[in-house]
Amino acid sequence: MNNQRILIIVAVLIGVAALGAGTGSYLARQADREADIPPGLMWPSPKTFPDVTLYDQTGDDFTASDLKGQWSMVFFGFTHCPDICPMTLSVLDRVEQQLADRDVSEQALRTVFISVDPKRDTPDRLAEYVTYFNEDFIGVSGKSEALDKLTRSLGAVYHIGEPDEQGGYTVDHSASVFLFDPQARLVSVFTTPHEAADMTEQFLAVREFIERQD
Amino acid sequence: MRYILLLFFMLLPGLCWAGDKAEVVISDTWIRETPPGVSPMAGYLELDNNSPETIVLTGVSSRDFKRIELHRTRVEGEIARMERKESLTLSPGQTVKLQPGDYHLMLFGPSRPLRAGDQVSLIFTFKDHPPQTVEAVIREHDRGGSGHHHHH
Repeated sequence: MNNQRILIIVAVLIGVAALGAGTGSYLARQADREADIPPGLMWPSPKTFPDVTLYDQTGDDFTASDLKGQWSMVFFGFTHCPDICPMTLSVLDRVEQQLADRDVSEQALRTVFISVDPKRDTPDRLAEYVTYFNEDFIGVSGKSEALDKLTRSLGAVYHIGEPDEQGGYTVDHSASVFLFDPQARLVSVFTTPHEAADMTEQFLAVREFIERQD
Repeated sequence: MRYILLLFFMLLPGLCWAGDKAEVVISDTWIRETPPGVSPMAGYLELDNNSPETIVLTGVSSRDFKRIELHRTRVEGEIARMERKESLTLSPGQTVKLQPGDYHLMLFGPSRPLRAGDQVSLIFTFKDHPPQTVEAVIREHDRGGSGHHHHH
């Protein structure tokens, strides 16, 4: 009788320990999985680049299909923006440099600058502007309706200000950088302040995560 | 003796000027190079008010630019906006940095193409204080200082 009772107690204790160990390892695995999710990730159900036709710096059409097959960093701005646009494009140039230093293929990521000031930013002007920062950067703009639809669907914003006495005007715009995967899906947003080293890490982490999903 | 007195009066304005100059020190003045034909350009610097009084920067001008304005970039809710400022007030002992993503000069209509390494004179005017002329250097976009462009 005594022995039987001891046996039962031992069995219960073993059961509790096993359950505890099981729960512990389950929780550990769950925590690992959460730790794997990179910051700034838009997952699951990412937005897709909408069906709009823009133009690039050569005057050719630019659509969602131009984003396919490659990762892309997209930044909204305008060429008459002297402070934050050159600053961000310089950072994006350094991100490309850091990827090259880490032997990540040059084709791995490209940068697309989308001007929300089509009145002043013609293809020629865009070409001059983006290639100054990096020969491979792509400059894009489009008609107001297309830009409105694009920014609205991605959660980006812009607002063209009132002209001053000289006819000049400034444009408020999103300061974030939007990362699209090779299926033209918006999978991550980089918020300010933009630091090249952080952005490089975030890009590599997001890319690894997305490649594991598909 | 007459010559010594003459010398003294000749030096006097210089001595006074040096005294005034120490009140606000303008340093690290640079202008970001832009792609050809792109205006406005942005200028950056540091202002140190070493005096015991409040000093107000009321304007900046240059014979190399049509117009220079003082602006501030604000990023709020991930939206970048530019605010024009009519003046900049420096309280006693205060240092204000005009730097990327913050206060900066907007320089419109350069009179000649300006490339990295070029220098221009900027005249800073202050309320109740004499103006100061400062040399600003044009620098390449990569502020890291390496000046390294990578072309594929």
